[in-house]
Amino acid sequence: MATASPDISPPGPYPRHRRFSLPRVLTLAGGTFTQLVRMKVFYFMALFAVAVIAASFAFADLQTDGQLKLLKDVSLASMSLFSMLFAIAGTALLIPRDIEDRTLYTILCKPVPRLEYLLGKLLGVVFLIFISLILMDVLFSAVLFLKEKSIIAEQINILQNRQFASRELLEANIAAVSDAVTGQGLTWNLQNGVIAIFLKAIVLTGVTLLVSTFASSTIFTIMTSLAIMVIGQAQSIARDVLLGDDASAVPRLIAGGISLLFPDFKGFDIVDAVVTGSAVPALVMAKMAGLTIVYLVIHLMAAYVIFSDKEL
Amino acid sequence: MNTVRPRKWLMAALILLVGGIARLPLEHAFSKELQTHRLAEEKINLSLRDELGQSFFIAVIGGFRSLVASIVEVENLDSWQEQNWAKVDAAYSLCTRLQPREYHYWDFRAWMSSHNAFDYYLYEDMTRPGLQPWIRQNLVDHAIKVLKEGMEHLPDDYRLPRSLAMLMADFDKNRDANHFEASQWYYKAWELRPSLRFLRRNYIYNLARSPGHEIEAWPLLMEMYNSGPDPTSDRTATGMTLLVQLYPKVKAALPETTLPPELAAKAPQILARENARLDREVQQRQRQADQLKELEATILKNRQGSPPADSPQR
Repeated sequence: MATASPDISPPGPYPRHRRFSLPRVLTLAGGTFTQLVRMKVFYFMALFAVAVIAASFAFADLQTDGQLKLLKDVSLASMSLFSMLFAIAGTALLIPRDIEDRTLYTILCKPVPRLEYLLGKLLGVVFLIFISLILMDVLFSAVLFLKEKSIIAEQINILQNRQFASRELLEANIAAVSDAVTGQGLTWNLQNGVIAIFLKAIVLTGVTLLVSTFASSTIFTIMTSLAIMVIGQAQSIARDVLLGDDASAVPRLIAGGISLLFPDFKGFDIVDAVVTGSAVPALVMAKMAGLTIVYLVIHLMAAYVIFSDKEL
Repeated sequence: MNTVRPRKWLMAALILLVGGIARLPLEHAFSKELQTHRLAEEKINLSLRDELGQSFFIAVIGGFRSLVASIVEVENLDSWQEQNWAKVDAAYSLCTRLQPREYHYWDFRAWMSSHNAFDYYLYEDMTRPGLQPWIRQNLVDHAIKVLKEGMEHLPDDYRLPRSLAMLMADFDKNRDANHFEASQWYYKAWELRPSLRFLRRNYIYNLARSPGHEIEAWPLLMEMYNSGPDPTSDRTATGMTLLVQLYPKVKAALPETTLPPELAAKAPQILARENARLDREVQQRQRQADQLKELEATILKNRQGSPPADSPQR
């Protein structure tokens, strides 16, 4: 009795391996995000909540403007600090941890280009910063809104129980309360400050990723990235020296090196202006986002060149 | 082995350099744009380093300038409670230098000088009786200087010219008070915030009280009166009083001038009420001046009777 031979032909054409695949990058990003979340990074929210709530109750002796400004200052400075810490520490830990856990070898022995690996790591950290900033922003906005409401109620109570010598004085007092609330209260413009903090953290993540591709230890990556951040805060001064006419050759050479190698972090510091109530045009925010992409592309390209055939 | 070939180092450096050259004009243009929109931070003066201390200075460089200014203000609360006015002014001076575009630092610094410190030297500190008026006027002059400096940094904020106008209209505080100058500052404030009608009314009141500007003020006061009897309109008791007071002078210069009949009917009552108010004010000022003189005389008498402060104690 003849038996049918089993079909051992391949099940069909395998999908062609793509040189670049966004789903692969997103899978790596998701893995990185989970990896960071498992490090219990979100515990920082407790600290942030304490800082914001303490700032909202403290120093009732200050004027209305002063109280609201202090709350905004503490909250936005904490957001900035936490996002910078995530950008530096989170990114600095990733590649060494992957080498230590041997995860890096498991990933790279598959047909995953090293660029995708770097992009996935970067996006994972950026996603973590994004989620953290959203959580902080929601808490900050809620506390600021409640503080603003309580101040308005208190001021209205004062105005109702006070005798004014003239109608002009009453109107001046009403205008003062209204100005304090509109100038220092919760506005959409404040969100531009949070976006600027996020964009600055993205650039810092790119810089740290570049450093971590050649760094020999995590502490080296963290220290070097911190140093780059500090130098980057003064990059605009070096740029002015480079583009000005006053400096001689040697200072200009040093200024040129700093201007060309380090990003200008000062360009992202619009939080002070936002806190004082200066309106930020949408075009400025768009240009800031564009500049962030330029920085990211440059740092990612340099990181890839170093990481592309690094012996691991 | 963590090794990178030298060729790759070179390529990475080249990417950073070429990228740097490409982004330099973008960064420069963006920086200029931030300055145009008044979003860029003011340049840091190195003298700030000594005043702030190392850690605060680093925080300022690191982009936490606003937070540092807030902390300086909070730390200053003690000096305020101790009534150490020189320290209070120094702290607010630091705040204004850190954040020159924050309105409340300028206004509060001026207020501390012209109101809190002024009242302290008026009622509490009587150690130098002969010098007190000079100290008080210096405090007012300082507040005026601070407000004018603040206006250079905040040319679009109506609140600083308003505060200055209030000081220029305050004859109790300011020896150099001047209704006309006050009216001009109120006008500037109103130009910056036309929706606030009280600024315009204050401008008109001060203009009407400025000698030689009565004819200029008359049509403006009439316009206020003609805005109607609605309580939210510009027809105010002060405006009507000024119309009645100015009428004889304006009539003398422009004979065709008339006072609205209903106002003319109430004129004697309005004038009597205003005169009574002015009398009360004059009496109150006189009482205050007498009390101060008495207090100063007592201090001087006590001081002459007591041994000098640096005499050896037994």
